[in-house]
Amino acid sequence: MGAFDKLKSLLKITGIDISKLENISLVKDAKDISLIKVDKRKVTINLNSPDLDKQTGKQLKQVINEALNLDAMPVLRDEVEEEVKLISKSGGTPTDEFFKDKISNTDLLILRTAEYINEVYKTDKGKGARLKSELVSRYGERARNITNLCAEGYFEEYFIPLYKALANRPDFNPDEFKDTFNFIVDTTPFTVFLSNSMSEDVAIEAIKDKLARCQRYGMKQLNIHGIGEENLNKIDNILENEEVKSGFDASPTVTKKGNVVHVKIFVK
Amino acid sequence: MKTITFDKDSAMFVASAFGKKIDSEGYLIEADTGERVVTREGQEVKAKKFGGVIKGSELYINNDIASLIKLSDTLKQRKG
Repeated sequence: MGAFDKLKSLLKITGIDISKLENISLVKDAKDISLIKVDKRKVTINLNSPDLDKQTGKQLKQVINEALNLDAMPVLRDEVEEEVKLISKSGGTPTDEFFKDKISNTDLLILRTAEYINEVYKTDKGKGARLKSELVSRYGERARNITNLCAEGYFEEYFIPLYKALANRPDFNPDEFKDTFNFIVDTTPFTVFLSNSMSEDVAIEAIKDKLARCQRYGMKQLNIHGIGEENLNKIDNILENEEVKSGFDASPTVTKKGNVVHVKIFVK
Repeated sequence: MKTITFDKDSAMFVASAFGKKIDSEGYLIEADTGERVVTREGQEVKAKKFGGVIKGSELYINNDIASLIKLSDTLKQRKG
């Protein structure tokens, strides 16, 4: 006998087709004292009802316990069920599929959560901000950085091309990507990503902004990352720009691996 | 998928159905041993963040977004 049948028998519910029921909802309603409300797919039980005596309450708890342990029925807070339905509708993306086994499981979970948060943000900024705050509260600044990188499209525009560029090399070691990924995530607020669509002028402005940020926060290092021949050439020109040069102390360190370049600027 | 759901005020009724109560700091504990309940990830469960239980043997859910993303995956896999 399943949970719904047991409930029907316990509370003497009549006039419903058990096979069509999908949910038992437990509420504490102070205004409406009736014990049971039934619609086609749901039975609502009011735990505040004077018609629920101690013995029946005890038996009801047993039904709930057996529903989980014998019928494997999830027992969820109402808002949790709602949110899980929304999450299921939004589904995974090719991006987080790509990063399975390439980044840590925790970072993958953060990325998937960040993708959902960004979806939510499009229609409900307040809820998006609250969910982001929850994520950061649990996983710290790393979660904030990953969420920001995700929102700005860097997983598609930089990390996927980066992985592919590194993986094309005969001496590729997956840990190399992980190390680079970790470094970039940790230093995100002080990083500039060069994209092919970014002109040199725009790149210079972005770098000047981040240099100012570094100086404001006392950060001694600004990182620039780029992939592809076009961006490699761009970087050479950018580092010769007088305004950019005025922001750094010593000569920047430029590391090139194939067509991937990382630059460390030592901030004045 | 058939479910049992509960509102905020019914949370402790549900928790007690599984032999749990709240300690003085607001965390869910085993009623018989006083041991704090933990999620699969080892997080303690504050009563006000108690999101529910799923089978496995009993997996407690914290009501925070990362936990719900994981829960959504788990329930999808179980549906098959």
